Amino acid sequence: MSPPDARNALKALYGLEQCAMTAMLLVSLDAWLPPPPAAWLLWSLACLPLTWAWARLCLGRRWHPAWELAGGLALGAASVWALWRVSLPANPPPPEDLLWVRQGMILAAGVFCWASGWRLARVRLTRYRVIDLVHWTLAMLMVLLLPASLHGASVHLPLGWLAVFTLAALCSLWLVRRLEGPPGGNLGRGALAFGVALVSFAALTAALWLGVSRRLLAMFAEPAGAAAEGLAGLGAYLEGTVLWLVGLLRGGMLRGAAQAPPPPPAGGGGSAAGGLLAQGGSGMLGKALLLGLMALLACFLLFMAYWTIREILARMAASAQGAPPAVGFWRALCLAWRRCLEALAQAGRRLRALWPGGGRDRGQGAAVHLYQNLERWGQARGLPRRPGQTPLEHLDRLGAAYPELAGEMGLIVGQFVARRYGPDTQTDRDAQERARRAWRRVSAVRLRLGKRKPLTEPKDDEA
Amino acid sequence: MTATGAPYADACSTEEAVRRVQRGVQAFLDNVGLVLVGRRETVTLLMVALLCEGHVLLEDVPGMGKTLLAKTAARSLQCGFRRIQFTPDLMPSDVTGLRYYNQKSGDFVLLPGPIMANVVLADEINRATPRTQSCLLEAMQERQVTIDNETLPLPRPFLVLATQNPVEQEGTFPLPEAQLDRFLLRLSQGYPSLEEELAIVERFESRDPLVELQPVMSAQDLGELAGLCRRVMVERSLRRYMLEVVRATREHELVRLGASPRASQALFWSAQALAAVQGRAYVLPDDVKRLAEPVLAHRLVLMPEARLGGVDKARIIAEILEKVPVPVT
Repeated sequence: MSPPDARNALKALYGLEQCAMTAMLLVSLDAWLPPPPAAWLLWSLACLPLTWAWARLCLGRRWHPAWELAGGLALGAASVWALWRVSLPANPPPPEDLLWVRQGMILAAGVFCWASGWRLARVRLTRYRVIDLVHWTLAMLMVLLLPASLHGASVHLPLGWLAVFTLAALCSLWLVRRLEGPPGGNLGRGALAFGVALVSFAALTAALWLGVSRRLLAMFAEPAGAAAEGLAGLGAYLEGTVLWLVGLLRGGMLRGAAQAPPPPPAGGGGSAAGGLLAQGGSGMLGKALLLGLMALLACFLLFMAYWTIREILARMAASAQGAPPAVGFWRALCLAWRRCLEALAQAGRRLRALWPGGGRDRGQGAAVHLYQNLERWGQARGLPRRPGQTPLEHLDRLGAAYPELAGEMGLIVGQFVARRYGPDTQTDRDAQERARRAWRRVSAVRLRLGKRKPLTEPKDDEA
Repeated sequence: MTATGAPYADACSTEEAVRRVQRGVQAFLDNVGLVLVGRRETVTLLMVALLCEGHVLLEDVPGMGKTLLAKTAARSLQCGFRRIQFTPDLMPSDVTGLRYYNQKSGDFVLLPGPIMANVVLADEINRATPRTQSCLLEAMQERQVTIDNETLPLPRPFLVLATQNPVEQEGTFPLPEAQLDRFLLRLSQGYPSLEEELAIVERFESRDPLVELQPVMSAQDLGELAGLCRRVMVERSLRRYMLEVVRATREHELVRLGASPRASQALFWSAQALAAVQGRAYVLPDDVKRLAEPVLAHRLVLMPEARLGGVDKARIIAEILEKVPVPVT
């Protein structure tokens, strides 16, 4: 393997890995912010064209630094626009604004991906990776710890993830050192290093999931959320690995520099880095589409797995309370599929909301979303809403079981019914904020394994 | 205007309209509360019926204050009120009126019956024969009566408050289904609590508060408030939910004759009125569920085996409400 090939392969790897890490970061945020992990799906969908464009421009025949610069500027402008909408000074900051911070971070991550390609051509890989590590550490501290402290949320959750990321990054650094060796470096050792990183990450995820560290587990919104985060993170790394290997195979890296086809003519665009995928033939777009489809499929399956686990855990929780099972296994699967579709629809609404003037129904969406959270919260505690039950009747049931939260739940349900059945008027931001704060107080009551709160629901209500 | 302030303005928003309805209803409820003890739920639903210009069937055992409720409600409205005591020998012309030959003038003169009033209290309606009961059909639905081939419109609003005793069977004639269907709501109060009964005894100890009761709402006010109630929003999925509930009564295995499309309209209008009474500009599924029994139960005709088995219509409605999914997502 020639150094340019290795360098190009690493460029692709960095881009994908950063996408995956951003996704995990988003999922971590989603664990304690109202929006569900649908953001994960949204981001996965959004990063596909980004990844394709990045690979196309960095590794393709028509790569040119000016293109990266233009793309970076465009994304930067979009980030500025997103961040311009943020009004952080309020304490605590409005969660809606926090969403904008997150969206801004998504775009900033895109800019970073582009900039990394630019920088990669100028610095040594090891040095770059160290810069990368510091950069990501600071970014995560900023994104995770700052809102967490402002919202009074526990800082242990982001710290736990930070530890995971740091370990993964260190393993990745080792991989870089292996690959950066002399020409013809050992690809097998590099793959082994990456495998070690993968296994370490999976082990940590499994440890979180299985509750080896109860303290860490308790800091997640609920066990299912932790499991989902673990799966999502694991999936992101798997996705990155698959894409990387596909890129290597398609790019002819395994064939060696001596057997590689001649570089493209200068007239086709001066490729500074040689072009890994360009060596594989002219079907770059097809390959990118193939990779995108694979990634989409992986996201979809992961999301399904997430909802399946949630439903099954909810069923286990309900049966542990002596209540009749809310859903069976197959029903849970069906629900998972339905939730996937709902999440897709929600992702579409979010995309519309990103557009200037397109977020008119965000208030309604937020109210509905908070109520859906509350419904799931009740379901996980053996108090699902029956089909013939109205939201207010369900509220009575929940309020009887958790009288200390009746006010907060009433606020959420009140806002929901007003939005769901009332005229479609502009949402009062204060009311939205009050409902979000109420949800945070409700969701703070966690479902702990082995220490579930006994229900005080009257028996006649179950009849 | 006595209680509801300025005349109705078309330009006012739905929220303002609903607030006006709520204020008017509150004045009515407070006024009725000067005579009646408790019974807030029944009086509220009675007001819902008044706002829908719908007829009400008050069904209860003797001595529960059915007639007093009807008289108090009628007295609170500044409009024409007549009471008809239904007896087995009552003739249709005693209700609707007749033309008699005036020997002095030498022509036929119309003698309007007691039905020519805004509020008609049909006391113990099931004591009259079916023939007399049927004379109310045209009046209740079309708001008109036909006397000797001449059709006369009834004053608006026109409301029939009928009472009947569900226990006594001797000398009574059950109301035909066609007439039951014309009642918007069937209300039943039940026995008062100990404290309420004590308050009733004390309130009527020295005087009859009904004598001093003053009207708080005119017929025109009532018409205006009824018009405002029509502006209450009923979300599309809720409309379907109402129809699904009504249709479920037709498909229930123990029901021989389910609720009619008139019942669907009644449920729709009364849900709007109930939302307005509560100061809401939109209907909730809870309104539909709360009104389902008073609106639908009396319209159902059960299978013979269900009647013999003592199946309660209210239980059938509750079962239907539990099965029909509420539109939430």
